[in-house]
Amino acid sequence: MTIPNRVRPARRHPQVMALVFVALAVMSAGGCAVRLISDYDEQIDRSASELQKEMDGFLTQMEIEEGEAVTYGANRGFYPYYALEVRAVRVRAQAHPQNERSVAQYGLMLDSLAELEEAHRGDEGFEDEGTLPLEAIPVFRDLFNQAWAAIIHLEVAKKR
Amino acid sequence: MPFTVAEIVKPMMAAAQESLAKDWGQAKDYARPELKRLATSLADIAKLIAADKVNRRQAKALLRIHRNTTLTVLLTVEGLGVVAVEDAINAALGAVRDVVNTAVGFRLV
Repeated sequence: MTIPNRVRPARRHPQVMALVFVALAVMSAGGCAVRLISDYDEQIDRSASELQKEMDGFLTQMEIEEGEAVTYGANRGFYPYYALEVRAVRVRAQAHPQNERSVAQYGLMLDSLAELEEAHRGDEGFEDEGTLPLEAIPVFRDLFNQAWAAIIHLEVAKKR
Repeated sequence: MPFTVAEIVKPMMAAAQESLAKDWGQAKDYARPELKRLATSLADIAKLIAADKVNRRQAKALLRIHRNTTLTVLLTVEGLGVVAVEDAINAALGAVRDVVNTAVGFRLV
């Protein structure tokens, strides 16, 4: 079916589309700079760096210490504490408009924390005796560090 | 003093292209080593599973955390793209600010 030329302005008049683009941008900007993503939050940046350090420290402790000290039973308190800290940062992130990506990243971090706890916990009936496999700890640590670095990278990119 | 579309399209396009080229280059520079790192850790996980160094539950947890980290990295790449587009729009508007504001007689852009 042939489309009449009069309903294909974009193809015939790219300048007109550019002007529409300008008009839309100006309208959305209201005379100010256009904002498509939230502003940088220094407190979030600082908290994320602290949380990265805490997770790295925890996993390093699980790697270098031995015996009772590295069991799930001796460390089960770490998980709800850390989850609380991550949720607190997520709530602050949610307070910023156009911050859906960062908020989603904190959700993924909480899911990863739950998975780490699952890997730490022992088999049914022996939950407290569980330990993280020594050879896997560097991989867990790298993944958490990489995720935190990504979160911080995006936050820093919001600086204008 | 009025202006023509042609007068403002050229500087807008030039400013947007320059801004996008710079910012998108930064997003690419971030993404490349991060994706390589993710590929390396996936290979490490496969080795741990093959060597029976982790049980089934721990293997599942490792793979799930790997998936979450991949999504986190991709969200950052996407966010960097949005920042790039935002910068390009503002650069385009900035390039014609004086012409437009002079023409309308007040600070519109």
